[in-house]
Amino acid sequence: MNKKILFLILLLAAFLRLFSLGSVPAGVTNDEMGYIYNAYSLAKTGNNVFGEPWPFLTWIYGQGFPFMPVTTYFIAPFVGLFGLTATMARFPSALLGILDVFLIYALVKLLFKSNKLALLSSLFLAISPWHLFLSRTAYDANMALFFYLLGTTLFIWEIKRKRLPFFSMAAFWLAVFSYRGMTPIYPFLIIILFWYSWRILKMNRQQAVVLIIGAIIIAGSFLFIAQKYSDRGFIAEALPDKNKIQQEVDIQIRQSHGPVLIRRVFLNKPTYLLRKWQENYLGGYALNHLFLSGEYGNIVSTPEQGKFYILDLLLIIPGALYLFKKNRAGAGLAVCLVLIAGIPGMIAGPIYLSRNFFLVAILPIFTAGGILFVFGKMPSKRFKTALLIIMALIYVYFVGSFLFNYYGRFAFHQSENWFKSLKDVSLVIEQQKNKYDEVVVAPSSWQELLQYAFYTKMDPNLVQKAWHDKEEDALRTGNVRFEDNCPDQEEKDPRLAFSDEEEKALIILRGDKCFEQATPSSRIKDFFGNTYWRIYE
Amino acid sequence: MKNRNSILIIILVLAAFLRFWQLGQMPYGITNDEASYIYSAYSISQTFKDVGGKILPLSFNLENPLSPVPIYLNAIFLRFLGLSVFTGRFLYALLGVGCVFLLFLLAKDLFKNTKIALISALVLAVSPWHLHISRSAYEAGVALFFFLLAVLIFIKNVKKGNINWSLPFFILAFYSYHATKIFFVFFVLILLYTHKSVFKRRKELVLFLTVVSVIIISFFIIGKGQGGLERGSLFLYNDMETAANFVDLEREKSLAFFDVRQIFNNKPLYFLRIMREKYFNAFSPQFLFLYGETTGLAGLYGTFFRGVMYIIELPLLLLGLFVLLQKYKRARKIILFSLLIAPLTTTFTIDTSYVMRAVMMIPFLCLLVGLGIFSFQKMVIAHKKKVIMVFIVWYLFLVASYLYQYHFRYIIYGAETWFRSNRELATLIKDNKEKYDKVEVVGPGGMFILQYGVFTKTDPEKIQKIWNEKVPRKLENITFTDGCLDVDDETLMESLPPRTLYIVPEIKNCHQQVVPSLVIKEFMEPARIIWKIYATE
Repeated sequence: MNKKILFLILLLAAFLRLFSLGSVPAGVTNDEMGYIYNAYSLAKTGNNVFGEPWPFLTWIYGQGFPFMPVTTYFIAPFVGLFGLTATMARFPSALLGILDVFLIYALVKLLFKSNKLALLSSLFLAISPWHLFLSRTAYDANMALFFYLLGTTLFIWEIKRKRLPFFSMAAFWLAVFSYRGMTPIYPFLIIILFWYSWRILKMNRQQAVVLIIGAIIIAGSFLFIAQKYSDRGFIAEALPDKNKIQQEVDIQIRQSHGPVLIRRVFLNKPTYLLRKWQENYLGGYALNHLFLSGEYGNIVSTPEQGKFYILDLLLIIPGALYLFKKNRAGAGLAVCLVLIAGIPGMIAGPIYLSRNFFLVAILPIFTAGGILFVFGKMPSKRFKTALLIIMALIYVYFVGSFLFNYYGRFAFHQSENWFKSLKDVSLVIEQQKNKYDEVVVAPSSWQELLQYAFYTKMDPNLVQKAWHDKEEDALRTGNVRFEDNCPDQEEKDPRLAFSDEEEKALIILRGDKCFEQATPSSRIKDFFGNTYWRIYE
Repeated sequence: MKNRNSILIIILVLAAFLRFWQLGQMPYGITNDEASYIYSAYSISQTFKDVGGKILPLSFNLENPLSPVPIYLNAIFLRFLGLSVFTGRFLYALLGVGCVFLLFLLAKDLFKNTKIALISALVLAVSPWHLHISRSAYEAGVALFFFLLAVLIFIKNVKKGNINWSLPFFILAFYSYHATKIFFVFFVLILLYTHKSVFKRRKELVLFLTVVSVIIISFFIIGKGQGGLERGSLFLYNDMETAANFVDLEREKSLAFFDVRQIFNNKPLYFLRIMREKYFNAFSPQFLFLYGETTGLAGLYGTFFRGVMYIIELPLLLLGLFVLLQKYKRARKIILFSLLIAPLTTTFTIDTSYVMRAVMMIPFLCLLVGLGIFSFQKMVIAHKKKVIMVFIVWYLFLVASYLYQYHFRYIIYGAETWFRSNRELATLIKDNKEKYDKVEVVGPGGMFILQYGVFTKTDPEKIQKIWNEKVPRKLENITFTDGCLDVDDETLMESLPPRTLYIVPEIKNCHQQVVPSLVIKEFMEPARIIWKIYATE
């Protein structure tokens, strides 16, 4: 019976994660593209988009924001074998999202030895707006979550079975190199797991030695990579801006009364930084974005929708009580996992959607516990049935509301935050480029070229060549030019600026940045009718 | 026992010191609401009439309707102490100290533990939230005092005695503050629910419920007769137009079937969403521990960039909550239910103010923190005294940091929020009016007259005389007008009569070309001019 229910939950999780995967979200962001096209390029040519052979890290910006190896190489076989589409690029993430649901079942069962709790936890993860949202993207946090859960579950299983924790250590290595946000959590996770397995599971010395050596190897390899790529922004987000802090502190000191010594006791760089971290950390647990209106910024959330359902909030405290009653140590471990989930957000600040993503898998355990707590308080079976029906109806409504928001509103309202117009531009170029001697896209950059390459399934060799042959202010592939800046605006109309009697050009200009007075042949607009690109034939 | 009494006295002395120290100087100015309360009380104390000339009214209606209890109570104090900013706030600070004592008694009764009671009282004594409202002439603190007193008497009389002894204090609480009236209705029900034994004493209960009903009905009768129901316009349902517009927009910008849109986008859901957000934000770490009030009169209701509780209290609050849920059954019901209903008023209103309207959260949060500290020291004292020392030092640092911010920084950056320049102007007029034949003040607004009255101890009969007059209002040789003199800048000084003090606010943009004889500037950089003063000989 339990297996059947679990199967049904996994089926639901799969449906929610795979339905319209390629079309919602409507476009592909540059962060996704960094993984997707690099993975495709590696699968097809063995080089990343810059032509570097089998690199450990990849980039799309040249400097800064490195793309992690595990995520890139995990996506590569999918897009390499099954073709370059948004669906296939996001499929690995969705697949791991479905497996997360199974892993949370396994983890809860290991910790609390309760099928009901495990099934409910996996159900709540399966319908979690936050988890659904990121599972349906090619973002790296989702990949790391899978290995994080896999490592934690395997570790507890290995320790309980008196096996050496090799597999779990391997999973943690994969987690650390899936997503940079995993790194600050990692040392705390190891300490917590050490405490739990030593005190509660009675880990033997050999297991402890493997755990410690494994932890050192993972930390060492991370530090080695961080050192090697320090000049390419590997830990840029984690470093505080010393000058800015000094300026702020100076202003505060200037605008206060009292002896300078006292001012310096309360207003200094450490207290400033501590305060910032405190704000960031608690910001990660703000009710507003977790349960009420979601995170500020359209790319990261559906309208008026928290990352969890509002009813989850009410169930968390009873849930904690239930878990502590069921298994004090297990509950303690779960609380610790909740507390360390906010560390990446604490160091780097918002966006919490991805940085604090590790919270997404743990809070459903509390929600599930809350349901069982409330059920336990019901005086009779009749009350329990009534409550079950009410709860089910409420959650069906909430899930329906989220899906309505996600497919009926977010998909269209926020399409431009997912660069939907670049998809349209790419398809226009693909259809029209043979009719013209030259196609100009301006102002544009390497990212626009990658978007074009993605939607037109361009040969990665050509993309690498375009980068290699990069001109001072433009990139060219075939007869398509991606120009950094607006074209020369001496003429009033771009058609006059580009075309002559022998040459025919298709000019695609972004928004209203250049030649704003010239009437275009057609426009590419968003859902609300705002013009994003103007096309001049 | 003797030792514990000494500790209580020390806590009360500390509470008094923190509330009375520099009370007349910090906040330096007085707000319009404070001026209304203080001067109305002074007016009653001297003439038995309010500022408008009504004899002993039950509803005071100046710019906003004022509650009668703080005014009549303060009138007694002002009768004996005389009028100043310090004496005007004296009652509020005194009741703040009283709250600390009452919380001690309440905690002792609820937990049957003097240690927890002492700790809770100490937490309230140093609470930034409570300190802030105790040091200003706002009615919320008065309501808090009488509610605490009423609940204490109610609880003391539940087992033996008569719960109706609490009624006079409930009446005083009810008529102390408009915003806690909604709290009152629910609070009475909670008290009865949590003390079901009173249901056996029918006569006593019937009288209690009858008087409670009379209290509620009397408010509407008095409000209708004497005014005071205007605050009802603040309720959310009065903003139906915004709701309709928002829902229309939501429905318009959706691609789902129209019936589906109606299910998920409608006015009840819109209001529920707004209320839900307002309600839960009262419990958010952002409000409680990081930023305090952030909208509306945020600068007035807090010191900016600081929560209404100390950050160290967050884990203690959670620990207290956790312990409360496992033990102290009676206390649990009262504390949790009261805490849950405390922010209801601000949930139902258009604008948001947690510091004042959710004032009833303060004692219950302090009780939880008190319980948390007690549990914490029990947890660690056996092992590590150093932990306790670190804890105490950290707590002390946070309290000191708050006091530093309040007394040495807020006095600068919060100065104008508290109308510091009005105090300077009133003092300047008072010191100079004898030297001039005429003083003309442009556009200070009606409430400035009350501020002037407080700062200069003006005879209430003089203020009553001009209160209902239209501008220009004349008070001795001072004229309060609306507009600037209609003369060219070049001829301004010539057109002013001899021995005239002509005072213009910079915000009116009058006489920009004429260099004033004197200016009153804001306290903080960039030190903008607030008042320009032109004097003729």
